[in-house]
Amino acid sequence: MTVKEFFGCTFIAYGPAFALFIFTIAREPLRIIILIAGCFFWLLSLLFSSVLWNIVWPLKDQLAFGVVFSVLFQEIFRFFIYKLLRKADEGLQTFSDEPPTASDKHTIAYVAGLGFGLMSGAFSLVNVLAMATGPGTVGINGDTPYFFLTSALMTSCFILLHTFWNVIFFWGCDKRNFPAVGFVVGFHMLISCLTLIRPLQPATIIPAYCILLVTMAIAYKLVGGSVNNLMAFLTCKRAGYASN
Amino acid sequence: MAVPRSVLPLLFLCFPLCWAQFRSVHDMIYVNITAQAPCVRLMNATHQIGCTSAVSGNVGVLHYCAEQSDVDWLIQSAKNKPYMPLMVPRLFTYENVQGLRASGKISGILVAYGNRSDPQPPQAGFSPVHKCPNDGYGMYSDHPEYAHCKNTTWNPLGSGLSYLDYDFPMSLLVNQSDIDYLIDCHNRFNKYDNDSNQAYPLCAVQIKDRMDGAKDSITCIRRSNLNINLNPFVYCDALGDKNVWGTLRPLNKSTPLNDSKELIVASAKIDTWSLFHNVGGVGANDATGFIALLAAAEALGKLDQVEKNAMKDLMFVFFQGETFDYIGSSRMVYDMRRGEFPAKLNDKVPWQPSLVNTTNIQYFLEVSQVGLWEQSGGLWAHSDPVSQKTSAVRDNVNAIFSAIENATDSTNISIGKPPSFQALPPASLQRFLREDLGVPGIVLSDHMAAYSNNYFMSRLDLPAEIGMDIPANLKPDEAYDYTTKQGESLTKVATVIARTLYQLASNKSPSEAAKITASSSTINHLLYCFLQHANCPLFAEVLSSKSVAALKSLPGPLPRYVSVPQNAANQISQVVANLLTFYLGERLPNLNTPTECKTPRYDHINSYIFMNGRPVVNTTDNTTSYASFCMRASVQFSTAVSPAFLSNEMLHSNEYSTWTESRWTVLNAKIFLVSSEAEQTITLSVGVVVILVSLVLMYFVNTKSDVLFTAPEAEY
Repeated sequence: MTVKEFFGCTFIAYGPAFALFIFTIAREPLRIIILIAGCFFWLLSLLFSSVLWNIVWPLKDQLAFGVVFSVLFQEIFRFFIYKLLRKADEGLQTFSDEPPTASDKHTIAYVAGLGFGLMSGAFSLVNVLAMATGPGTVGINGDTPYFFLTSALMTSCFILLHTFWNVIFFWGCDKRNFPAVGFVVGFHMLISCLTLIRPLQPATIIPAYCILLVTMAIAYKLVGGSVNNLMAFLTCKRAGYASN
Repeated sequence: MAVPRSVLPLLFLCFPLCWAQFRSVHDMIYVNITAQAPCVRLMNATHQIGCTSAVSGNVGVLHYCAEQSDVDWLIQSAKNKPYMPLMVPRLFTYENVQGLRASGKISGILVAYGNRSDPQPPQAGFSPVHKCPNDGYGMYSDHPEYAHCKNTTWNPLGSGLSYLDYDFPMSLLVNQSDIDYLIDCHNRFNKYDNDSNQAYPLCAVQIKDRMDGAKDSITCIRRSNLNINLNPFVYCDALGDKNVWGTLRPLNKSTPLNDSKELIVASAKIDTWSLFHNVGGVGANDATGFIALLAAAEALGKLDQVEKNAMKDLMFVFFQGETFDYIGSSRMVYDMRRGEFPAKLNDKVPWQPSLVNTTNIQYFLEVSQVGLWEQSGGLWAHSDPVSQKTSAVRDNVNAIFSAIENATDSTNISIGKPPSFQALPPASLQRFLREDLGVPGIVLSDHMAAYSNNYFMSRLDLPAEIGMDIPANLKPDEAYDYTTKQGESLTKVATVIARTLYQLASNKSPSEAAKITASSSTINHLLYCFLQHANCPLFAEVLSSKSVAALKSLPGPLPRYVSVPQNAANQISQVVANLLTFYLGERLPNLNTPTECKTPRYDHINSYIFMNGRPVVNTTDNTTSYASFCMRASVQFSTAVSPAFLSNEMLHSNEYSTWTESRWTVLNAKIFLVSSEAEQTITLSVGVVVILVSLVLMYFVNTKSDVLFTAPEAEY
């Protein structure tokens, strides 16, 4: 692995998240606060997972145990940040100049989700990237030579997944729509366990991205998108025509 | 850089994308090479020699060279440069190293030297040092006839390989498991299909051993002395250690030597050198000299005290650092000429040895390489033609020669004199004659002109080459007592030396000298301990219990590289000093503990050494204790650091050895796979495309969000 691959992987993993941040978050202080809150709650979930992992020392070497409880803690903290943000909703609005609109709740969910995802993405790849600047590439012990590439792709996938999951999760909580909440927790668990079975091979990437597409479609639908809107976007119609 | 353990739980918990194996990323990429002996950089007043890696290490594609054709392939047709060849010792020759270096295709060289890789020395011989060793620092440095070995080339096989400056690292791999892993990695990934381009990934190696010092000793010392901050950085250290010397009978300043010329000096050098740092087990023929001298010291030490007292003063000297332009002898002569050897006289110290000067020396007998005399038709007594123009010197040289002749007659060895116009071979005696042409001396060796040793100063100067084959099926204690061919022939040499010295010191007839015989078991033990396994009963008996424990971890013989001076003497010098004390000294039965067996502060003549002794097994409870004992002998260390480092003028004078060893901070090597440039470029391109597409897409999504998200639910 060399500097070239280091930058390649960095761009793949964090490029989409970076674009989201630049265009939708960077210019609004309120959103940055929410983003940081999302990061913080993900870190809290990590802390609790680690504490549990340390306490239950006989299962330290059991990766599955760690993964399952880590997923549960992440989802619990996703619920906590939901509670917090809904409580803080009115207070937060005082920072904003514009009157609250219906899509603001989705925006908050999206921003918090991106924070959640960014932090998880940072932790999953930074140590890998640190190794990536050295001269070697993975494979001497029979590991896949695409390790760095798949790690970067998976990281990118997870950042986006967390973002969309958060939108669905918040909506589900607001609507008391428990299947939606269950969908998020279930798929988080599913994809995590998938990586346990086939660690970081191209075979894991494809289902992960399929799940990402499904999750993205659901989230898009929830926040007011439709096939018509998408078509309108693609054919460059103006906003006025579509809504009228 | 391994991932710290404290981070591991975090890492593996937080990502859902954990891999099933509980391994750090580092372990997925790198396999460390566990042991290596690097070629390090040394410097003298004008040059730097040896190797260094780049600051960030040198990386090269591994290529296992088992045959000459593999090396030729690398030089001629290899395409994926740079390479890091792993060579069997046989191929590590001057021609191959130069060829590879000139091809510009290599970034380093590894040499396999494990216990299974047969060194197979080339029949033609191999010597990586100069044809004229220590040229310029002996007595003939500007002699019209003898300078630069004009008269006799001592080491015609010398290629000078070790004295070149390499800008890439070279390492000797001493651990067989490392070598096996590398060969396996080569076979798995780098099996070249003749000249076809090899598919990536390739197995590669990185060596990191950046040398801090550069250019030459003078520059390096100046840089080290610059105090530009509170943490002075030292770039290199002068080579040096301690000489060991001892006398048969104590020298005491109450009876000074004056110029009565009644001192006999017998010397040998103990150090050797190999291109690869501190590799033990080399220089077998080089070691025969000091081993024979030690055995002779034992034979003479057994004489009874009355006889010893009647003899002339006899001094045994074991020089350190002679390989590097006579470090040990030049310092001893320097100290002698200044009236500081063994130490400046001090009225406050009641017991001090008398001063020794070069003018006190009546006879000087140096034992050089003597292991191969049977092949070269006997022993040869070299003497210096320049000093023998004086009749007094000539008479004394002849006296030594006739004593040797008498001794060889009684032991059935032939002794020859090289032609009288032939100069002295490189020897410590040259440093004495350089300062004082009145020192009558002979250098005893196994060669008439050029060295008999075809592997001089190389790592192939192995015990097997001097007839020290020990049957492999012997247990360690049987091997220890086994009499090799070398053991037999060296016993004769030691006997000759002992009888010669006895005759010279006592003026007795050759027939009386014939009662002295070197012990063949001592020779066997010394050869075994110095050349095969340092962890042996003899060393265990004469060393302190602490040093014995340190030997236990040593797999082979002691390294004999002079290295840089430390507080304590090198292990090898310590062992020689203890052996000399053991052979020359007397047991003090009243001193039974290490605290009692301490040299008294007023006594600068003797040293007291508490030796571990032989193991005694207690049959009742099956425990082992040691029959430790205290020895006293007039055996001392003397400084063996070149006088050049005493002052700036002497450093520039060309008179003394100026060798320094560079310091280094990192020394490691690892094995891993490298991907092709194309693959790396693809990864980078994909990354760039991903980020650009994301940015463009998000720009449009953001500006057209009113188009995309137009149907918020009414309830919100």
